Amino acid sequence: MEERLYREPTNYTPKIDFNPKKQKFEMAGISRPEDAYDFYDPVLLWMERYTERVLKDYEENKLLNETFIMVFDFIYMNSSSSKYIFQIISHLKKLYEKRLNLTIFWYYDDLDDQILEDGEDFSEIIKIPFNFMTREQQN
Amino acid sequence: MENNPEILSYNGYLSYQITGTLIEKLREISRQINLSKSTYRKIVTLMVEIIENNYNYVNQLDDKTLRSSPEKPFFSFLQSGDYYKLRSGNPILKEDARALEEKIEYINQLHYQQLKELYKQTMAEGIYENERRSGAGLGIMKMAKISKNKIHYHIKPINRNLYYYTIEIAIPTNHTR
Repeated sequence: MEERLYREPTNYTPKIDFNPKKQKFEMAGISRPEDAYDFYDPVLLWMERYTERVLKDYEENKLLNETFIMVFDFIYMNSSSSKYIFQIISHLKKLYEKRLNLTIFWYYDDLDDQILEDGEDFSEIIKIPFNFMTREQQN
Repeated sequence: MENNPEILSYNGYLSYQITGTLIEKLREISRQINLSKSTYRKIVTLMVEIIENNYNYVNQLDDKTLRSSPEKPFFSFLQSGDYYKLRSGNPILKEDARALEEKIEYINQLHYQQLKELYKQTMAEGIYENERRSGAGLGIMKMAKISKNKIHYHIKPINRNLYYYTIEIAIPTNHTR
């Protein structure tokens, strides 16, 4: 099994907590890294390997838990980050296409329709329904 | 009429660290000028995109070319009548001018729904190595999508190698979704 991928949040980059044991993946905070490629490439690679391994386990009837949770809780993301975040969701979509139980939560501030709109765009492009929830609902 | 020029401005070379400082300043100013949270978030998003657009072009210039420009980069945020306006200016390479102009002209002639579709399509096309620095125009599309207004821009020659590019994004002071 893959090792947990954890990145502390900074003023420019989001917290990343991809926990393969719990099958729960979280991204939260601000995303405007100095170089989106440098920051997101290892994250994308992790998710690609992870989904490949899960699909292989599934094909071989070795998958013990078919529930996966992805949580996005962004305060802000720039357009350079958006493409990479979209690619992360694209990898997870492979699980959804196999009818595995993938739930995507998209949190937003009640008064911040910008982040809500970003999530709606992702959901429409990827054709997976997201659970849109205000940050108050999270607590 | 420019009734409150330059709520926030910066003259000189921009960077992602300076963007952070400007976001902090905007946060302080937003309380003084009673910006709603929604409008504040939109302005922050626009500010980051317009500044990144600025320094992404400037970062492509070598020092000698950059020094040859009599006009330096700038960013400003101001209120003009019923609009907040974000402006930015920077030198760009002569060979980038035509493509940039075409990109903005194309975006400007789209209706809002068409723009949303183009934005989503560009996102869905994925990431390509040659887009790492220059981008596919997603930032400009995002600015147009948020402001719901045409992008005003001007590109003029400075010297043999450089043009000066200014861009202005406006959102109504009572912006709604």
